[in-house]
Amino acid sequence: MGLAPALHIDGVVASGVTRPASIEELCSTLREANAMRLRVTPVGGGTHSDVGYPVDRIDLAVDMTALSAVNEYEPDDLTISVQAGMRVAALASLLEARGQHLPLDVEQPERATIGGAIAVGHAGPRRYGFGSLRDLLIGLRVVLADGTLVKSGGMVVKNVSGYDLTKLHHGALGSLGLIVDANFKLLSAPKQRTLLIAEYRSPSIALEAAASLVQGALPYSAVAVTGPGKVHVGCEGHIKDAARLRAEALKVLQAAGAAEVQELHGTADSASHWGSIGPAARGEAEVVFRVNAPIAAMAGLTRQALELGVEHDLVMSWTADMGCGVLELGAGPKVGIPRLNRFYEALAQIAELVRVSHGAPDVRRELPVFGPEPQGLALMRLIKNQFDPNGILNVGKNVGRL
Amino acid sequence: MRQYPGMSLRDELLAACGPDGLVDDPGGRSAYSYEAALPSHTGWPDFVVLPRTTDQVVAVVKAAAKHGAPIVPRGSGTGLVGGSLPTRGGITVALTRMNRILRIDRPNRFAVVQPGVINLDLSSATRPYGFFYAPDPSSQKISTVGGNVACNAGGPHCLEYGTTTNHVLGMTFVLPDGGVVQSGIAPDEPGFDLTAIMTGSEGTLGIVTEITVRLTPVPEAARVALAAFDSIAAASETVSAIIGHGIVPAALEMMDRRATEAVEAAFHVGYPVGSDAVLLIEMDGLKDAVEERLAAVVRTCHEHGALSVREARSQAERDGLWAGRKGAAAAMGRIAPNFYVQDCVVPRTRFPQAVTRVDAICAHHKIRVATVLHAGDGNLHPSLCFDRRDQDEVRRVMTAGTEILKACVDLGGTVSGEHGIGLEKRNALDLIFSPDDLAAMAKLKGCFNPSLLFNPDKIFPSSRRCAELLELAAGGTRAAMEAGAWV
Repeated sequence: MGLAPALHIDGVVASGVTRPASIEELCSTLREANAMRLRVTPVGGGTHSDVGYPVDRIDLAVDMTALSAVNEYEPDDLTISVQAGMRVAALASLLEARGQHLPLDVEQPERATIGGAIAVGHAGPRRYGFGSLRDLLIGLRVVLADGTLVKSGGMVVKNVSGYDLTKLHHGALGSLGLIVDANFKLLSAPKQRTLLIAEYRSPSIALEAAASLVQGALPYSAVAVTGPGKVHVGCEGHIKDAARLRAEALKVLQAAGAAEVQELHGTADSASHWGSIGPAARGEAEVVFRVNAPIAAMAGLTRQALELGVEHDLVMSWTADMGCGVLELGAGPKVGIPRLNRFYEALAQIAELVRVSHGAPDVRRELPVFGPEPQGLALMRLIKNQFDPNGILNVGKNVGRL
Repeated sequence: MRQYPGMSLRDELLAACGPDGLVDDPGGRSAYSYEAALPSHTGWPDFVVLPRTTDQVVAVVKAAAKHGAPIVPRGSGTGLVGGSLPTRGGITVALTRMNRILRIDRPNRFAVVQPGVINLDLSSATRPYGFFYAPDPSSQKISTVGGNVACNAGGPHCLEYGTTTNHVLGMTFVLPDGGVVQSGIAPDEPGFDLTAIMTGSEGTLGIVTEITVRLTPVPEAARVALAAFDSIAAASETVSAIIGHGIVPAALEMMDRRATEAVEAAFHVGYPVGSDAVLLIEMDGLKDAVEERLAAVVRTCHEHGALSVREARSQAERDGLWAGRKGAAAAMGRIAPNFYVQDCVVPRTRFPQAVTRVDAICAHHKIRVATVLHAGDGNLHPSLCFDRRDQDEVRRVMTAGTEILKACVDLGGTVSGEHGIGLEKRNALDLIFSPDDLAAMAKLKGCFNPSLLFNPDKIFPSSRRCAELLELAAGGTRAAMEAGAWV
């Protein structure tokens, strides 16, 4: 295998780097690596290498970006199959040209790859209205640790044919195989995209306004709040749908006392907006905590979390995805591990599911990245051992340091 | 009945579920020896247990493991592929008494249910709060949520809302060793997506005893139109045109002439008999846009030569049209004493070709066929009508069924959209998956079900090669089973 110069990934220098130009080359690379028990880390756009536990060692980084072709696209079938190294932005513009979309709210879509988005289980605010990547993923081809190429699912939107191995790799952080092809169910692109951004004097007022939008149960594409007090509302769909949603949202936003509501119309602005509002995207934080909560608890929980931030003397940037029940809290810079740890423990007292979603390697080495062990961990360990018996794929990165 | 050595398995099951939770007389057991699948598929359990709690399921599973008895979970028995039939005796775990809705959390839009809750009961219970449970298989009046999870059931409305797997947020399940696991879904829960693996695993990996499901807000408006065409081709072109206009309805169903006639004769709800194809189209969403989109759909139907288009004007009319569609399977009884409903999927633009192939195959084998389709999803349900007393006809039906699956796979499709693989289609899995693909699934099975006692003989091809794969994945424990641990 041809090796390129060394590469820094997540605080580790990869001893070797390879960029397979074909699936056959990728399979044989994996086969050799498995035989030699090399520690392998797959790399896409490198936008999410700071998730999970840091790996101790990378003998071989496998750059997937040369595998970026469209395998099959039949717009009338509303399905597409692409190679995993394709950039999210490239896919988006291909679909946009045919009036279709795959609502992925990733940061840096020009860099992020489809395979990477699947591996990290990407889920942005617009899954509230459009469904998640998990919902839209209908098939995969994956190279297993021993170099075997396996397929799951297919190019049809309904499929109950054996176990759903497709979803097994979604969110698995590349620890069970390397994704090479991904098939998606597509959606018709909204005819109208309107984005409302309302600013409030305090986080509390913003949170309450957003919470009442969510409880109203109208089909907004996304409802989120960012600090210090901005509410973001996606009104997307058929022209009349978007107009109606805009009117209903404006009523609520103005009744809550928004001084001014900014409106963005069109496509590109509103679509890329949702990928850019997370604390990690804003790049100000040393670490980003992620809290999952029931949607009706989001406003209260966010307020409590912000108070904890003040108590711990943290400078926080935050995004509350009110529709999906996800709060991301960015802390830092230069806080230091002991204080981050105390804050983490305090957060875990008020919420069931807390984890570190992004952060510097030394922080992620010290903090319990995934929170308490899931009940299914023993089963997950068996699965890891079955699929990667030699322990070569992103070893130690996943929950329980699998 | 098989003999189980050692302390009586019967006593342990009795202790676990109580006298009213154990059935072992032949009359009682016979009720669990068949399902809605082909009448040729039958299998008798040695014992039937009817647990009410997760703890009882655990006790049953542990007793089964100790005695090496196979275990088959079962809901209402509406399965169409033999998935709940005990092929090797053992214990059938009927989950129909675990039928409580444990929690409806309106503000957070989820419900927690036991697996024996009837699908429609869940929607009925949540509708007063403005929510419903979206997966709506035609069997929803009787099938259970647990059974729906086992088969990853679909239904007409999954065109817009997705199948069961998109609506299950988490579950509690009992593993073959008696261990209990609670799982959520990625990415909100860390680790591998065990919930997704369990959904559609047809009882081969564990027994689901509690399910957390997403509740969907009832749309502000829903409108239904029924359009009649003089050919399947014209109706198919209409479907393509509707979707081509960027309109994805909530449901887009098609019925052929024979299915339409059977439904109308059974339900008298105004289906246009005498036309070769009927489209049932539902639009839902916000009021104004629904009206506008329905008008666009009606226009498209007329442009493609619809013989008639009727819009349901009232909720009662809409319900009547849906009752006809969802009762289609029952109505097939008017055509012949038995029918064999296939479930195959093709990419949606290829379903006109698939229908043509199905008709040709059935004509060749001299079989009457009535077809209903989830046209928007490319999911076909040809019902092959027959009389089981006619052995030759039964053989022809089986042959035609296999040929239909092959034809759909040739068109880029798959062998099951929403009914599952079970017993009936396990040898069809080879049509779409390579030995390596199946080996990956076998590895997964080995992690959950190393003793292979959970729902044996289901999903995986019966070929020697596959049996070996399973044995390999399970670490050789199958050998003990084959040596007669429970025979």
